[in-house]
Amino acid sequence: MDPTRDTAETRDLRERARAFFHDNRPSDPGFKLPQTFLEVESEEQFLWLRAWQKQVYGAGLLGVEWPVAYGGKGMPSGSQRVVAEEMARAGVPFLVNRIGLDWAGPTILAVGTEEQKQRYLRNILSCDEVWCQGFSEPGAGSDLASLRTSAVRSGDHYVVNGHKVWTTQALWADFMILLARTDPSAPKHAGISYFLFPMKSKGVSVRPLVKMTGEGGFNQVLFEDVEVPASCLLAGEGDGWRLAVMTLAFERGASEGSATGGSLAAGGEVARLVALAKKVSRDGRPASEDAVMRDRIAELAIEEEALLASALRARVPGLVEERPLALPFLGKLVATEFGQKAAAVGQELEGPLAQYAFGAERAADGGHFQRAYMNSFGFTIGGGTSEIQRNLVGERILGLPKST
Amino acid sequence: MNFDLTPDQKLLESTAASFVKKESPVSRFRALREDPVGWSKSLWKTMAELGWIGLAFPESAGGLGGSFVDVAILLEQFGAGLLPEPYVPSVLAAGTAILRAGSAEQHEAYLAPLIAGDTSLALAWAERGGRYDPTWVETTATKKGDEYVLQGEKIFVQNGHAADVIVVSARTAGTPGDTDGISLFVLPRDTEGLRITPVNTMDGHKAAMITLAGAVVPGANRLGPEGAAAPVLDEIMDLGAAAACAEGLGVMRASLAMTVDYLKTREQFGVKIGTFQALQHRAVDMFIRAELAKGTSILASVKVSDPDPAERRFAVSAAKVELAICGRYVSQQSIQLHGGIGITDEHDIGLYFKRMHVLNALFGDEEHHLARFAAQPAF
Ligand SMILES: Cc1cc2nc3c(=O)[nH]c(=O)nc-3n(C[C@H](O)[C@H](O)[C@H](O)COP(=O)(O)OP(=O)(O)OC[C@H]3O[C@@H](n4cnc5c(N)ncnc54)[C@H](O)[C@@H]3O)c2cc1C
Ligand SMILES: Cc1cc2nc3c(=O)[nH]c(=O)nc-3n(C[C@H](O)[C@H](O)[C@H](O)COP(=O)(O)OP(=O)(O)OC[C@H]3O[C@@H](n4cnc5c(N)ncnc54)[C@H](O)[C@@H]3O)c2cc1C
Repeated sequence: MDPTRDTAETRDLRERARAFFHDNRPSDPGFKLPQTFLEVESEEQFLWLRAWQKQVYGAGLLGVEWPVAYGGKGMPSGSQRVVAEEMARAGVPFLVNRIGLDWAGPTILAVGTEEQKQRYLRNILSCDEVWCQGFSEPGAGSDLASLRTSAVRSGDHYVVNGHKVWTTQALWADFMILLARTDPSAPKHAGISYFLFPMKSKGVSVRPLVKMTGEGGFNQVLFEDVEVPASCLLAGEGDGWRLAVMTLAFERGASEGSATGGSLAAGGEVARLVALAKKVSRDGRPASEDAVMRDRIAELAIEEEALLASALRARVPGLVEERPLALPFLGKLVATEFGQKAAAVGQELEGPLAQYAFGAERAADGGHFQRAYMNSFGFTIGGGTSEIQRNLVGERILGLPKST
Repeated sequence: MNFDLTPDQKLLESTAASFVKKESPVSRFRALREDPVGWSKSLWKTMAELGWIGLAFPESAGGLGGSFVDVAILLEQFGAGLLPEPYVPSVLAAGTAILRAGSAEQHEAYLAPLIAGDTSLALAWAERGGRYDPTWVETTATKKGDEYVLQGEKIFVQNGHAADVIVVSARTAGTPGDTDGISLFVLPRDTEGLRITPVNTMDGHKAAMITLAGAVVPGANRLGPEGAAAPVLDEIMDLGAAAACAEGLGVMRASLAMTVDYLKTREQFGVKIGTFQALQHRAVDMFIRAELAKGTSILASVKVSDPDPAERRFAVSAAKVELAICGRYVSQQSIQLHGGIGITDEHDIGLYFKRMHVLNALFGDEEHHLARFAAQPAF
């Protein structure tokens, strides 16, 4: 079987997607757009991106694998990837509700009640409701299970107190997938519950944080005696850790259930490098004619091929069963570190222009690679650091004893 | 070759270290990022009074006759504290241009006030089409009677936004890339037709894009003989690169220290994260890289004064490549090991990361120096 070939079904979807993204490429908004969903910093950006997602959903290109009953199209696994590939090819903006589409949505789809699925899923696709993820705390990053935010049951509601940090998109989110401790006396993994938490509740405050690029995107979220209905609980009390692990697997690239089909290895950086190499000059000639730069870019192009091939393999059910999660884990690890390398080469191409501050008008390629380089750490740290990914691969896949 | 510092140099090092600690903690630089000048005239004056500007010039030009190694000692300390005063552009770039090419009167006119800390300078050499080649000069200087008319564009002129006087390279003959035909001119910042557009660089420093739109310069403002400035610029490129290496040592040292400190304080899984062997090994690798770069950087600071340009280029290009490789590793890992807090603007580690990034692009990046190294006859 040739995994790069379309089936009759995906061919049709691909043609529709290609035509749509060709005909509906958004025009320049007139302000700077963020590079990824991690850097959405202004309401202006957010509203614009939300309108874009609505348009893609309206065209029937989003959530195509989700059941029709919840706003999807019920198409077979692998379909959404086709759309993702066409989006990458067309170079159109990303889908802003990524945390809803790829983390919260698939988790709800897997374990939510019928009522919860009806209530939340469609609005995630249409972007009428945006989601954020309240997992990390100041004292609980890599050691997520040590989280201390508490949710205390009181009649038909819970009272939440605590402090989350690095919460991407919390400023606009309608809901948060929240991990909170419901049983402080239980062993640390056992006392955690998972909530579909309404962000507009009384007692929630969101404080934006600034990144080293000067961009925003993530926040601190403080909870002061916030009362939420008990029906916000997903699955049972104490199931939080199991569900968190499921969400993290989606976040790290397990593709089943993803609404966007977007793996982190979506590609596109090498094409950008080639375009830049043709634009900037070295010794009076385009850098694309320089033997050294050609070698560097070719090396990256081949590595990108390897990533894409491994992303394709990750979707072959047999392989996934034989080594559960191995390929997606590797995908997150390798793809994010690859992004960092590619951005570094981009800056070498720019030469002295790499000094420009981000978003400076005359920066080569709009300062894309400067921003991408700095922001690449958002991916090697966010979603579980590369070190933690390596620990997991060692322990769960290679079967090494747990490190101390 | 001697890697040991003399007693005088050790004193210079400890004086500079405590000066930076006391007068220029990182919080000062952080605050100055919002300032249009980005550095302090009074601190510049103090540095002059300490003899640090004069150190770089021979006694014959009113200086103290120090060596480049002395200067490198200062720069390393400046790097450790991210001190933003324009030492490299004023003293090593424009200052050297005036020293090497200028007459005794020009030394008196431009170097004396600099050495006294009353002025700062800039050297406008880089052009859009030339990457790091100082002979890629498209800017022209056309002689009209006793005067020259300058036309062209210069990019990323360090301290160009604040300098009192700007030294500009322009072509009096030949075509871009020719060694012959490049001349240097001194332009006071209020020269008509000299347009200075400040730009922010990503590390929070400032520079300027400069346009010369028919700027008229008296013949007396030319430095040295017409068309013969290329060797001076070539030497300045090496001084600048060696300076970036020295400053980079300080940046790496501070980044490593902050990271090791973080590994010893941050706790996860009930232990200091420095307990994890993966991180211990990473920190050791950072240390090793910093040490490797230190070796080549010190060699460059000695060899940059070698009368044989081939010796000079060999050592300096090697050091700049090593700085790029080691500096990138150290700064990337310093962010990675800080986790989420490492990518915030609030934390100082990002300031060091960005400075290292710009140091790599100043006076030739890795690619440039690799190619230059490989082009040496001895290679
Ligand atoms: C841009 C960005 C966006 C984010 N968005 C969100 C979000 O929306 N929601 C959310 O909940 N969180 C979010 N995060 C948080 C992210 O998940 C955490 O930053 C991450 O899990 C690391 O935690 P920490 O920052 O506390 O670092 P720490 O856990 O303190 O780690 C510090 C260093 O120690 C290393 N380390 C820790 N433990 C080990 C070990 N056992 N072995 C080896 N090395 C170890 C780490 O790899 C790292 O290098 C985001 C982070 C970033 C950078
Ligand atoms: C060419 C050669 C010459 C030698 N000459 C001498 C000699 O003259 N005298 C003498 O007494 N011995 C000598 N040795 C032996 C040498 O000291 C041991 O091989 C070495 O100490 C490793 O011990 P081991 O072989 O038992 O491997 P192990 O200790 O079992 O190590 C296996 C692997 O685990 C790693 N490892 C072990 N502990 C840790 C840890 N705490 N953290 C991280 N990684 C770890 C090791 O790095 C190695 O990769 C020699 C070995 C070689 C290969």
